[in-house]
Order: sequence, then C-alpha cells, then structure tokens
Amino acid sequence: MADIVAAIDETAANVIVPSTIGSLPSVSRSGSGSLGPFGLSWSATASLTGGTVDLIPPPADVIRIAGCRLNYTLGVTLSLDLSFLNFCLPRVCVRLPFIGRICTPRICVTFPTISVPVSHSSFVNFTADMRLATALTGAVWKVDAIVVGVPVLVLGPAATALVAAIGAAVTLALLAVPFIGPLLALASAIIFGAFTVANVLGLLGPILTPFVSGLRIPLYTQPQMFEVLPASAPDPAVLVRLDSVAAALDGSSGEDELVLTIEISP
Amino acid sequence: MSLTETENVFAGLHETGLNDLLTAFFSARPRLLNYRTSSAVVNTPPSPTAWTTMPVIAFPGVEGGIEYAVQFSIPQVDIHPESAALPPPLILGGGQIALRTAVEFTLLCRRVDDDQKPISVRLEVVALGRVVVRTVGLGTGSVSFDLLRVEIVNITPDALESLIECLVLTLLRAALESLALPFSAIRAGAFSLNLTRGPEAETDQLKLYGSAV
Repeated sequence: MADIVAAIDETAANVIVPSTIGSLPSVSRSGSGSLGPFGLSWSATASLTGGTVDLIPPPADVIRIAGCRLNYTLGVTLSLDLSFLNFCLPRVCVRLPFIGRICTPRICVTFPTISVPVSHSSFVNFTADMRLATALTGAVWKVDAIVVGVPVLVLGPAATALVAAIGAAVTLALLAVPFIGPLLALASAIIFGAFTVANVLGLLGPILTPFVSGLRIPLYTQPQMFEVLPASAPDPAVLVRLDSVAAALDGSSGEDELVLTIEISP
Repeated sequence: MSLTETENVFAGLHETGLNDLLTAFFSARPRLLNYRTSSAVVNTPPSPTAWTTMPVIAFPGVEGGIEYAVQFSIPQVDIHPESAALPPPLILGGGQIALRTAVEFTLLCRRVDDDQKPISVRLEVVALGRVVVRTVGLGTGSVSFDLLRVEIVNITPDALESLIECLVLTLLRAALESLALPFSAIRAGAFSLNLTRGPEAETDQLKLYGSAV
C-alpha cells in the first residue's frame, strides 16, 4: 500500500474544482483577422467561473465539467475601407457664343478608410472533458486536469450580441464621415451585409476556443522536498521527499473518486 | 467500500509513511531524543545542538549533583493490526498503535577515588498508545501520540521493572510532547479537509475523514 493515499468524491470535487477554476488568473490574447471584406485586429481577456464536475472512471477516464462559464471582454478594431463609395460628379458642358465650349470642373468625392473600435463583454457556456496528467517539473510535483480535444462553445447568443455591438459602433462611425449623407443607406447595406451572425461566429470561434482548449486546472502542486513542519527556533524545518505521485479516477468500490497515491522517504 | 465512505475527503497515512515522517522529524530535531546534563556524561552525537541540556540532580553531599543522560532511538510505530509480535502482556487493540524505541540511560558514576566514568544501560521499549487530535481548525489540525503503557522485558525483580517502566513512560510521553503531525503532512499537501471523523488507526493506516474546504 502507498505511504499516503488522498481521495475526494464528487461532492468534494464540486467544491474544489470550481473554486480552483475561479482562482485561475485571467488570460489575454490578441490577433488579427477579417470580417467579410473588412480587416480587423482584436484583443481578448477571459476568465472562468463555475461548472459542475462529474468524475467518470475508466474506461472513459475523464473529469467532465459541464456548464462552465467563459467570461470574456473583446476589443475589436474594424478597418472599413470606404473607397467603394468614391464617385465623381458628371461634367456639364455648354457652348457659349464667341467663347466656345465650356465644361464644369471634374469634381470627385473620395471616402477614407475608417477605424471603428468595438468593445464587447459577454460569456459563453461550455462542457469539457479533462484527463489527469502528473509530472515532476523543476523539482515540483504537479497533477493537472487537462482539457481533451476542442470543446464546443455555445456561441450563438454571443455572436448575435456582438453583431448588434458592431452595428451600433459602425453606424456611429459612418455618421461622422463627411459627405456620406446621401450614400449612407448604400454604405450601410454593403457594410452590414458582411456582419452576419455566421460571419461573426467564424470570427468568435477561433478567438475564444483557445482559451478553453488549452485549459489546465491545477489539482495538486507541491515541491518534491515537502515541508512537514516549518523551522521554529532553534529547530530547522522538517522535510520529506515525495518520491512519486500518481493520480487516477476510481469507481471500483461503487463511488467515483479522484485518488492520489504518494510515496515518501525521509 | 470507497476510500471516502460517507465523508467527502479521505487522507490515509500508512505506517511505513508514518515511520518515514518520524525519521525525518527526529533526524531534523535530535535534541528531542537526547537529554544530558553535560558532555562529560556522553558525547555521541557530538554536536551540541543535538542535545537538550538538563539540570543536574541535586543531592545533599553530592558535590556538583548527579550527572546523567537519557537517549531514545527514533521511535517506529505499528498501527493496528500488529505487524510484529508484542511482548506479553501487551495486546494491540483496535484503534491503537504500538511504538517501539530503545532507551539508553547513562550515569556519570563517581567512584571512591574521585574517578568518574559513565555507566550505560540500553533497554528495548514497546509502548501502547493511541493517536489523538492535538489541534483542529478550519481545514487545518494536527495529531499526536498518547502513550498508555510501556513494557520492558526481562527486568527483575518485578518491582524494579515496574519502576523503570513508569520512569520510561513518563520520559517518553514528555519527549513526544513536541511531536504534532499536521494534517497537511498526513495528506502530503493534497485536498484540504475539515475533520469530521478520525483519526482512526486501522488496517495499518492512520485515517482522516472530512469535508472539502
């Protein structure tokens, strides 16, 4: 039998794992992409909360977290090239006696490329399966639960809300463009045609999914030289060596448990 | 039966792991096993920090008092059921532990010609006891040993054996007074628990049960 055995059941797992998830620091990412014909750059910060834990022993051998919430703040800067609205006024020519043919000057109106910042905060729920991974890294024992595969994020509501946020920001930006008044309806029809829910889903998925697919939940972290008791003058600290750490899901006794087995030496 | 049984968190320390913890504890803090009045009595181990210095025993007419030393070997614990036979009449009952150590008494003997030489005797000791909670708090706590009786074999007459057993039990309880193993050591830092059951000494393990913190 192992020197030390520590185990938790699903009730305890539903206290420990969500608490650990909630204590993970926020993660930030940035990048660039496109939305229809328009370019964009983005930055996102995300954190996790909640979730219901199900310990599923072998043969599945996963920890399933359902209803976990990914809270995110997304900053997008759209680059809208309005040159498709450029036009020139038609020239009018007349023939004047004794002067000859006179034409009005060529007048063209060009429209700039505008940057539209959009900030949007929301959340998505997801369910993910995780596997236990144990490693001794830099003289520290770690047992983590690591997401298996790519979880499916329920992005529909988030995409719809983001479309609305983009629409409001773009409308405001267009109104500020000089001389766009007569062309506003045309500009809006063309621009908003690119901001469909489907297009936004194609943008949101690759931004948010990496926050979850790379997720590691730390379940056990201890230095290999484990401090039993701290130093207390005049006595030094008492240390033991954690020779091995193993983690497993076990349901063989009728109750699903997460079990750590640890060997120590003085 | 699952490890957690009707509780939610379980921590089990096997007696081999417990003995590793005791070895680590007393190797780091040998002064808790070695007591002497001066280095003239005994000087092994040589480091002064490995000793607790005691006052001499004052006695009228004994100039300078009576000098002595008491040393214990690192105790080893056997959790129920017994892994090795105990000397009669000791019986390792359910929930109990057996603690084995050796005690060495050394007396700095003054002879008629004022020559002083240390005289030692080493005795093998087996004690019965139980594990008790020393402190308990939210997600924290510690356990210690409460020794109940000691058996030293082959001392005659019986009255002398009883006297020495009482003396050794008194000294050993005092020496172990500073030993308090935190829950965090029993579970090697995994899964903090609020203790709701235990410590239980059975199947060669010291077991703690509780709820998640």
